[in-house]
Amino acid sequence: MLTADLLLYRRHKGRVFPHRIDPASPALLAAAQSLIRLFASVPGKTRGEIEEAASGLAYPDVPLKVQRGLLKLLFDRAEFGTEAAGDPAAIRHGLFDAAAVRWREEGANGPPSWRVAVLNAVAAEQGLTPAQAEAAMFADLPSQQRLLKAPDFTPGQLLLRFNSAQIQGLLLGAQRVVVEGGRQSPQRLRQILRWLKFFGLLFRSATDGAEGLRVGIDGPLAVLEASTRYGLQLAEFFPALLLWPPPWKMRAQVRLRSGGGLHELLVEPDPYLRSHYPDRGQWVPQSARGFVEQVRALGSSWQAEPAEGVLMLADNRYLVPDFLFRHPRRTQTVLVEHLLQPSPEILADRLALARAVESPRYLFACRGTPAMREAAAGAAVFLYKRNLTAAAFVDWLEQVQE
Amino acid sequence: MESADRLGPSLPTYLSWDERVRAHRCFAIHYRPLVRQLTRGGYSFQDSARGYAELEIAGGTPPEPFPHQAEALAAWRRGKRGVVELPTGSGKTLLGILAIREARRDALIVVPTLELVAQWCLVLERELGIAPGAIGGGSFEIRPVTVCTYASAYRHGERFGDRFGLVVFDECHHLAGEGYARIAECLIAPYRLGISATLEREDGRHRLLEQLVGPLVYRKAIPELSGEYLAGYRVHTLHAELSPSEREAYRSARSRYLDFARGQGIAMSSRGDWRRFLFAASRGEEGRAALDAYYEQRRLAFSAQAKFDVCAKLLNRHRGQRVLIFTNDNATAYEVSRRLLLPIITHQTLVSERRKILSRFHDGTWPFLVTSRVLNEGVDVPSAGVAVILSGTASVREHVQRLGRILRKQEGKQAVLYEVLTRHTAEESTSQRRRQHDAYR
Repeated sequence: MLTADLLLYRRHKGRVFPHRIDPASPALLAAAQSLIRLFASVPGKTRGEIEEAASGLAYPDVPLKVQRGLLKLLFDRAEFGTEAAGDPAAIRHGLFDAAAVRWREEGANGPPSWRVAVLNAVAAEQGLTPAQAEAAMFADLPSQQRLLKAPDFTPGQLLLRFNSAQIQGLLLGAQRVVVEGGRQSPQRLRQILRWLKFFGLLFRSATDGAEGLRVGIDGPLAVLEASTRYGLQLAEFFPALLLWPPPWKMRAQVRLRSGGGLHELLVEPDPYLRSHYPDRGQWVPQSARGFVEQVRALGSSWQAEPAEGVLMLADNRYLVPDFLFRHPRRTQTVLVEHLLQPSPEILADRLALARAVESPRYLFACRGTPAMREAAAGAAVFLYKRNLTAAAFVDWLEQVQE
Repeated sequence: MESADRLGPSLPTYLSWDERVRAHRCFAIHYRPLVRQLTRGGYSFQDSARGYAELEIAGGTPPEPFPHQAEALAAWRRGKRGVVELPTGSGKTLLGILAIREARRDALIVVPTLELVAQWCLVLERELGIAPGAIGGGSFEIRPVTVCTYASAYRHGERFGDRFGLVVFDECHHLAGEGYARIAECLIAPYRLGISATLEREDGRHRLLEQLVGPLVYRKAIPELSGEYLAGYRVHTLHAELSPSEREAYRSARSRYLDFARGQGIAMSSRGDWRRFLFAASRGEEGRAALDAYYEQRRLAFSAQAKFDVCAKLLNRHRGQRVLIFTNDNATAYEVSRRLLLPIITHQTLVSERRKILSRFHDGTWPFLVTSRVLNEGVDVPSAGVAVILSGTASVREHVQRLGRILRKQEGKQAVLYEVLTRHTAEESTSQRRRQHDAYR
């Protein structure tokens, strides 16, 4: 993710136009390649050495901010760790202890003559050579940590990532986002709705015959709590949106760091923007797969599997179930939708939709606060506090299905 | 908000309608004017925003304030909102304690560093007889009086924005930064006190504090308090010489950088010129080389070899005293630490190690301490009586804050600040600019 100081954009008449770079530009590809090379050997240079080497690189035709942004994306993707003989903190504290005594007793009117003796003594105590001790003295500092895993970008991927990171950075200051999705297949519809749920976004969606899907998403400036984390969730949703086939449009009202109130950001499918998320079609989150596994491990009469498709209802409304539960002996089938802390209004809305489903029965598993009990009362809602556990859910299912 | 619609044409502009909750919304900072307007207008309303209570203080009699503290408190008391500028060591923390006693509301104290969280907690326990909560550095405990870092308040402020009736912003110039200003917006606290030793910001954003905290209600400068309420002090400027090879490298780098700037028609005499230089430098290889040359000549001036020798001589002269050594950058600070085997604190130092180092500095085990900028402000090191500034920016605020580290009054203490400059380099004019303050006249 790019920080606000690395965002490049132009403002005009209430709109904001993020800077995009051409992922096929030879100059940019060469710059990206040489930045990637800084991370080439593993275990390689220290973070500080890479930063220093990067500050010495200059590319004609590549703005400094673009260079710094590309470097930030590479650092975000790399892994660093400490490699030192001995414990750096113990070594330096030993040196400070011994030197403090020398300063007190002998002093120094220039470079301390006792420095080598102190270094030798502390190194011997730690079972190291003086050179090892000196090298390890600050080896645990972030700037001294060595590269353990290089960022796995090709130059082209890095340039594409820069373009989406510019938009992600702007979304951190969004008040409202509207996505007009066009007419999408039920599989794609389900995919995007699951992404919205996976990132815990507050949204309302509707389809209309002519325009297709329209999703209104609250931005971090509009939510009532945890707005920073929520902003990151919204930013992380954006690459998922890029998986959608065209045509679609995203309009966001964003507040810019440079001030001037809200500006409109318009994003449409563009060859300069490509998702780095894998396109798995009807993707099932790990947590959902884990829940299905848990149900299987219970050995109960209920069998669970990830649900498929979307239930289309009247007035272009729909439901997106997460799980399909079967009870072969009783020949019962139940669809279950998993909701994460919906507002009482959203829960009521979903319950009203579910009542329209005649068969199979449509139930909800809902993480929420005790305050939601009222909204959930008497309805087919399994309310839980922290984690959705298979055993508790199946017990509840057994009761409501008897 | 019940009956807000009845406010009709007098509906405050800071309210906006939220369809999702079917009510008007506003930032928490507008709680006080909103309640005032509703009360004055005679509207009946139910206040379910307020989550704070009256504060019970078990501690005995309040401490006797110095005259400048009593005057500052009286000035703040008039509106119970406002900013006070007092030098480091003059008792800003005690002023905060007096404000808490005065307001008698659950109180939040927001501070820049974890060291200050610990420091405030100790003072609150001692002066008010209460165990405060702390937020930051892995702690998250909210109590009627809670101390929190700016960073944590920025991240979590919305979770406890309703819980306090008074907020004290320590070193409140931080609050005016682009991100941290949001902290003030998400707290409902009607009573607000900002305290700072160096209010003015170079970017001019300190003017925002009037809206976020309140107006400047009181101010006293170092010379007005020196001797009686602050330690007396002397400032010495010492010079280090570049070696012949350093001098040649300095001249070469400086002319490369200045030739490029002049070639672009940039005089390098204002902040605007610096931005223009950066822009020009980013547009080609020649510019990048000029930027590198700029950093090279600065590095040579800031960390000339002779400075390390001057530093050693000063430490030798002040053996037995506590000495803080300041540098402009981490690289020089680590170089001093390596050469002279001195403990060091930078932004990379872990909190646990930082505490250990400060504790050993306080008890005299490690009487010399190197730092770049992280100890510029906030940390109370009453025993420090000597500061050596090996390098710094042109910022008046930074320079005054560094002087402030050694000014806390102690019996018989005469503080000394040394500024070590590399002769015949741009560092000399940098020094002149940062000394544009009453404390250095």
